[in-house]
Amino acid sequence: MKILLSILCIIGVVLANDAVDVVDVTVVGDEAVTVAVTPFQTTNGVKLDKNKTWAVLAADLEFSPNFNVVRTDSVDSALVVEKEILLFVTGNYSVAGDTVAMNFYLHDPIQGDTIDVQAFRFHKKSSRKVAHDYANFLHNRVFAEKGPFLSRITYARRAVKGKNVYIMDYDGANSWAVTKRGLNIMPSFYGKGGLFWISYGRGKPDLYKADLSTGKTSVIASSRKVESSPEYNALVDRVVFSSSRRGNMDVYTVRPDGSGLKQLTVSGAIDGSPCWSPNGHNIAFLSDRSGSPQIYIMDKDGGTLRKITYNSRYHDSPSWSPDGERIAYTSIRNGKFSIFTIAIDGTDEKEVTPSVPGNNRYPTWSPDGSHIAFASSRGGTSDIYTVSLKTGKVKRITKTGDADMPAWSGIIE
Amino acid sequence: MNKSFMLSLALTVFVMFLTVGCTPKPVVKDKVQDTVAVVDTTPVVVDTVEKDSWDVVDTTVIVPVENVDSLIKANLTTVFFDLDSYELTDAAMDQVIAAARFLNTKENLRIRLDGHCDERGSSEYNMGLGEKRALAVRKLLVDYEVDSRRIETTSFGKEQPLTYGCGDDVCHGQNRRVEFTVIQK
Repeated sequence: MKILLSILCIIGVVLANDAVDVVDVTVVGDEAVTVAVTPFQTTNGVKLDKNKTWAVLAADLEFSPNFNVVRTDSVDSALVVEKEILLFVTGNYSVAGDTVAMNFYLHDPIQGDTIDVQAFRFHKKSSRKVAHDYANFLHNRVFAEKGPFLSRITYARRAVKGKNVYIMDYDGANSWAVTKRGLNIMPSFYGKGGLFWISYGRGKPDLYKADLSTGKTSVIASSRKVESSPEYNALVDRVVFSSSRRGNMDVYTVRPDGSGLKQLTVSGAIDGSPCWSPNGHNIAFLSDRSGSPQIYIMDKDGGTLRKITYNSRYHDSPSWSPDGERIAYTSIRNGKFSIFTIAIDGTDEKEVTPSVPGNNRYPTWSPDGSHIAFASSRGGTSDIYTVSLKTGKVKRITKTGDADMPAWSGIIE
Repeated sequence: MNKSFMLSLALTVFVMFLTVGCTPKPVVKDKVQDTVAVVDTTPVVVDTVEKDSWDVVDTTVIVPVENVDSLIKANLTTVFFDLDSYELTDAAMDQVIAAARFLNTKENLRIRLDGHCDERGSSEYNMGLGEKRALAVRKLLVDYEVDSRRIETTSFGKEQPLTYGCGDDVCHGQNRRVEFTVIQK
């Protein structure tokens, strides 16, 4: 029985806490934990009409490969045995005007205990955030790891004139425009409160930075030539990007304030689309120095170059996995653009989107490494999709069309 | 509740607690340092010189001139390119040479050469390719004695196609181009 393969540790630390026994639950191992989520009940007759917190919670847990989710109206012992349910969540709430008071109850069906109670009071508009918060709590409680449920995705979307940069929740909700006019492309996060992107605001592509809390923007790298493809790494506190400021498109790094520029590649080829390894020791980038665009890896100072792609004449948009072991990229095969991943030693190439029609581009990893977001033209126009690396399940998360260049944030608490 | 299931689970929990405790998942570290380069290709010439002057952010603002007259439009015509190429075709060379001769009669004119690509591929590579196209046009203009200080170059990659949603190469070909944008009359 699969449930018996799960390594479950229940430390029965029983604490007096408003008459609720608090049991610390930690699960280790690779087996997914089955959690049931029931609809929450209103206590004053007023129902939440949209953004139902429990439904968002269930969707969050379904996103994670660490959970199997059972959506059910009620939980009984037969269902627990049949579905091998280890935990279940119930709740209730009351609505007064725009304010919601909500209680989450976490139950252990094996022991028959309620092992955690949490109370939230929030504005209706925050229903989804509360669900993400609770999903993060549950992920951390069960797996002792931070969950990805408050992460966000930034992307570019075509406007009547030009393009604008947007930010949305990881599941596609709450999308908002960071820029309002002009041509703005290639956004990427700067920690949890900032953004880098390329703007043509001064008639040429320059590297911009925004503080999302204040709305303040500044230009941190600009030349009479082209700046492109910024990505920040917090461990080395540097932005890697490509620039043709010295005559040819090469890879550079710079501090977030625009100081300390370093040139890492010098070749007559196009060197671009750089991305950091998670530990900041290495950079992957594309170069057509061999005659066609291929993916290369070098160390952060530009040395120890090696080519890792050979199976096509086109590879672009590398993105390094959070665990540091693989790189995702776009490649063209049989006339179609698809997303692939490859081990960093250049072996074990796998196609991520073999069943997704249309052209698929711009891969970016979720912070837990379980999914890749990408832009696909499968719907006839370009939208952002996510694909589970465990199940291959594809989900469309924008429906506006004309969306591309997604970049996923790190873990946000 | 299924009693055998409950008993099995309780035993498993007890045994696992004794043997492995509640150790959290190990953190997987970036393994780049442990790998060996499998293929060594063209060596990179490393230049990590840090120059303060490079830190200065260029503040140039390039603003296209509106209402360009028909004479200028007729002489500075859009140049088209083959797929994944920045080589000027014979027809393109004729256009650029004609543009150079015109520019040499209008010495106040300053231009920006805007390199564009078709919608296939990703933006990053096309940013480089678009710029290569603009630079190819610039080189021929300079060869024909247009003052290089009158010419800016930039790339729009695939971000501003003339035609969206192309389904054939004739259509895509209309997007692989360099446009002359007048920035001073």
